[in-house]
Amino acid sequence: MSFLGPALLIGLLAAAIPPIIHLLFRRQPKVVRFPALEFIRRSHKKTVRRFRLKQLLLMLVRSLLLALLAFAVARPFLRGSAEPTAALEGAQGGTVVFVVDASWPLAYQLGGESLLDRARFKVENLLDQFVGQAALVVAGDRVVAPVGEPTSDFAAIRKEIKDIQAGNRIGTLAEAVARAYDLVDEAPPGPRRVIVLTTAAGAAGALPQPAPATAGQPAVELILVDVADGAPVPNRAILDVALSPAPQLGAGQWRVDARVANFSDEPIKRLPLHLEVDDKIQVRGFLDLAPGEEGTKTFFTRIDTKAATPAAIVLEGDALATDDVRRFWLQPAPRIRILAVNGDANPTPQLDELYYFERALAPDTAAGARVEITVQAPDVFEQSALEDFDVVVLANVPSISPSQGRALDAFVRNGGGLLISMGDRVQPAELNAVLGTLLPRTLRDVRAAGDAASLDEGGDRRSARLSTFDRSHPVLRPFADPAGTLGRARVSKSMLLDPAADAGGTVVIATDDGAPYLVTRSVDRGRVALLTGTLDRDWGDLPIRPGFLPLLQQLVRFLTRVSDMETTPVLVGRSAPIPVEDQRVRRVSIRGPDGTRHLVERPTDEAAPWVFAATDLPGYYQVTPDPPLPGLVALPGFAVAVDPAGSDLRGPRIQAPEGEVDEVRAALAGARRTELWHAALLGLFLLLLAEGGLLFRRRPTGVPPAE
Amino acid sequence: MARQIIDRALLARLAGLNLRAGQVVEGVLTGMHKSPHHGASVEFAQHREYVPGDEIRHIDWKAFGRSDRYSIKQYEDETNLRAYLLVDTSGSMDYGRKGLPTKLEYGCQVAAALAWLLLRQGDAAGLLTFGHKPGHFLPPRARADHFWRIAEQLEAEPVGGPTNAVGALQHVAELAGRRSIILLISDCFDFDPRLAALARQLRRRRHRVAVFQVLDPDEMEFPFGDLTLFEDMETDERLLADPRGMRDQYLKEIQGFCDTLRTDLLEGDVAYHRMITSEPVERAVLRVIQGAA
Repeated sequence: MSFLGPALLIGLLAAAIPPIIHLLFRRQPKVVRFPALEFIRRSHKKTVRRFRLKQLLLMLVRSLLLALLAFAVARPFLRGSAEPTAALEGAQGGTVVFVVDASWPLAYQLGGESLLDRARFKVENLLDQFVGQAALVVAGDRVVAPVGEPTSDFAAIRKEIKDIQAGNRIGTLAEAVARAYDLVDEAPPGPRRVIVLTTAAGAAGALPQPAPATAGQPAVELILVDVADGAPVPNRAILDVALSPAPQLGAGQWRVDARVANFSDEPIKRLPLHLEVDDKIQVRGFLDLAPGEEGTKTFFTRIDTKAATPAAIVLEGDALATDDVRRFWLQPAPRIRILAVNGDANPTPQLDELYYFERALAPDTAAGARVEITVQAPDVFEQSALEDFDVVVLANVPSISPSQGRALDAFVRNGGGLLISMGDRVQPAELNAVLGTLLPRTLRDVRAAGDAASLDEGGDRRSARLSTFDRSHPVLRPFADPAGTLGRARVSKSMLLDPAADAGGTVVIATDDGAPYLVTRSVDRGRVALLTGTLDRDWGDLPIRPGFLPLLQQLVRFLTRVSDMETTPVLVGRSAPIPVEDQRVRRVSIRGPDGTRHLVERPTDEAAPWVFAATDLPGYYQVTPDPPLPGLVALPGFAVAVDPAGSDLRGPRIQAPEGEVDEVRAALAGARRTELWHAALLGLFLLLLAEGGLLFRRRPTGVPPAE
Repeated sequence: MARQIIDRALLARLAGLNLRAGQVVEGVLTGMHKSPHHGASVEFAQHREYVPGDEIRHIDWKAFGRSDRYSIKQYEDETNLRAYLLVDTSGSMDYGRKGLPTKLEYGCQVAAALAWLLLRQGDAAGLLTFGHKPGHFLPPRARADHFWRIAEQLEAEPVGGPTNAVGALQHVAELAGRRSIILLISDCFDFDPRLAALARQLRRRRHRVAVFQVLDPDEMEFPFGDLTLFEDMETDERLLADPRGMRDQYLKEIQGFCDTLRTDLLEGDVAYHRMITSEPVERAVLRVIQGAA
């Protein structure tokens, strides 16, 4: 008899609990002065032996109950056959190297045990029937060979195989098979086999093929064993999670997209999943998935965190729990520093060039970002250093000096953002001359909008509408219907751009008379946006339209490349970048999911990435400055996840080569186990009945009170 | 501390009743029946009110002339009924469930009620308390104020020691010269097989005997659960027992004892009344008087 969970047999000690309780907690009898002691004495004589026997039986039954419970939980079973098969005996003198896949998908629970448990069982069963030499290679987080020399001492293999734990990585099986070939190559002459115990998906992966037969040695036979025995292994998994701001829903609103896959042949109806923040469920949802299909569930949530907060998307648990949760950090809102150059300042606030701009980016409205705006006049701008800013806005600025133009060029090429808006003061020729390398298109002249449209309509319209939108552009991502939101704006004037066919830039928004209204362009590491209208109401009414606010916020994020909160998890074993901007932090303490702390120094080479390599466990990694810095308590952390490529355990059914007498496969097929926990549960039930019978007492009746 | 047994409200309620001794001890009436000794004594004792059944010739016409009420002249020796109340004061009678009187208190109240009824109808009532051996004895008297002497004695009687009902009966058999009523109030826990035989023997000597077995509800229901160290109230003997396991057997034993006692007594023409202290005394006495037993 063997046990699937032999460690649980320690529960047999629980059988001692009833006698211990009896001995330790014997109650002191209550003393009662009673007149009819004679009747008690007579009754006592007649019942004491039966009573003691009953109590003894009761204690025995209770001890047995606990012992049997521990026995059942340990999952006892009988092996199907312990006699070596004739075929295996024929293989005497052969060599077998077992390769056990211990990647994270092997934690899949099938029939109350993990696939890894099934692999163990199969190896043990083969060892029972095998006569020859064997070795063991394990493909876990890394490839190890606990029994690296073929040996006939199978006890060593049995011991090692018990200690195998499922890892957190995938993809080491091919290396393990190659290692097995190396081991088997050194074996003495005779049949040589490499038996790989893995999932159907693992067997279908690219595995190295054995070397052909040589003069002195037959070819090594590679035998792939599906530890699930072809049983269906349906699984559902979260593949990734993406966060993006949802300014259209209000300040602090974010959109969370969870991509979920159904790796099974059955459809899933209303699969429950939820978003939890700081271990509290925020939003629940359901998802329908067709067989083999991926789907995206979108949550909207408000995030007010000032510090990094752990969050996760969690699926309803299934047989493989590892991929049912995807963790990520909600990072503090990114800080965006804007230098806005006001080319048309006005003491009347509503007439000021940047009045609507500043309000659209006010801190209480800037969803997912902390915006700091510094407004300068053009002459002051000429003296400003741009390194302290993320975005420069030229609002109705007539012109800038060539030196500042060069500074702007360098600023953009190093990753800065530049937004140029038009106005009556703009001098196109001068701007073209200074910013020609940055402008998406050459500026030509101011024109009244609507002429072309009015010609088409045969009317006399004084304004144009925004009508053409590039919906794939990140700037317009927040808008479900840009035409409905932004299309109501009227444009009375705009800056005409060079219509050359080879003109650069991407037209994001255009008016209905065909003029580009918003054009963007990437310049090296930076981005430039050109608005052919104004940021105030001089050339149109877009600033007072509801869509202006999310448009501007998203535009600023686009220019600074912080449009999306980084949620891409680091896969187990890969290096995680340490996202610490503050240069004062030279060393961080990283606390892993298991509580261990690692100290990581910032590299002396500023250009070298600062990364953390010991990502061996999935989960949250918390980053704190070491030593602590005043005003800097928490730093953005990162999350580590298992590779979702392992979530699909399905694969083609493993077929034996035709025409071969395959004794090992025959032995594997005979590796049936007879589980005994059913019988143990029946025994438990009978014992409970027996205990009930022993405790059963007839309804008490007294002697008639009087007669 | 002297026990309080005289409940005047109870006595007032019983005042309207006449103790039909026959219903207690098979039809021996006094004051309500012919006396075989009428005219034998001339010592005037008191007047009492005429009740139907009294002979007209015994009416004191002079008194009728004075008071316009029919009165019967009673003489000291006129009554033909002497009642002996034997009250068990052994240690086992000192048991009582919480909220209920002890068996002794209950038995004393029963004895007082019976004495009240007997004396009120002109019969003589005497008292003998007993434990291991006979205790105080008050000879039967038919005087009304004799009740208070009986009551005082019942209230002051100490409790303790083993039960010896047989000894008490033997003692009263020597005292009772002519036929009398002997009312034994006890739990009968002396387990002496001679008790029924002696009672039957007294009956053969034309005495009327009635046994009032007073029991506590705990003795009849045995409501104990956990492991208990029982201590005998008379001998201080101790016995550790699990009441749950032996309850059925206990109930069988005590039921058998009571049934055997009852059968033995009834076969000997001796009245038997079982009284549980949870039953109000008034109701128990009424049950006895009304012949419900």
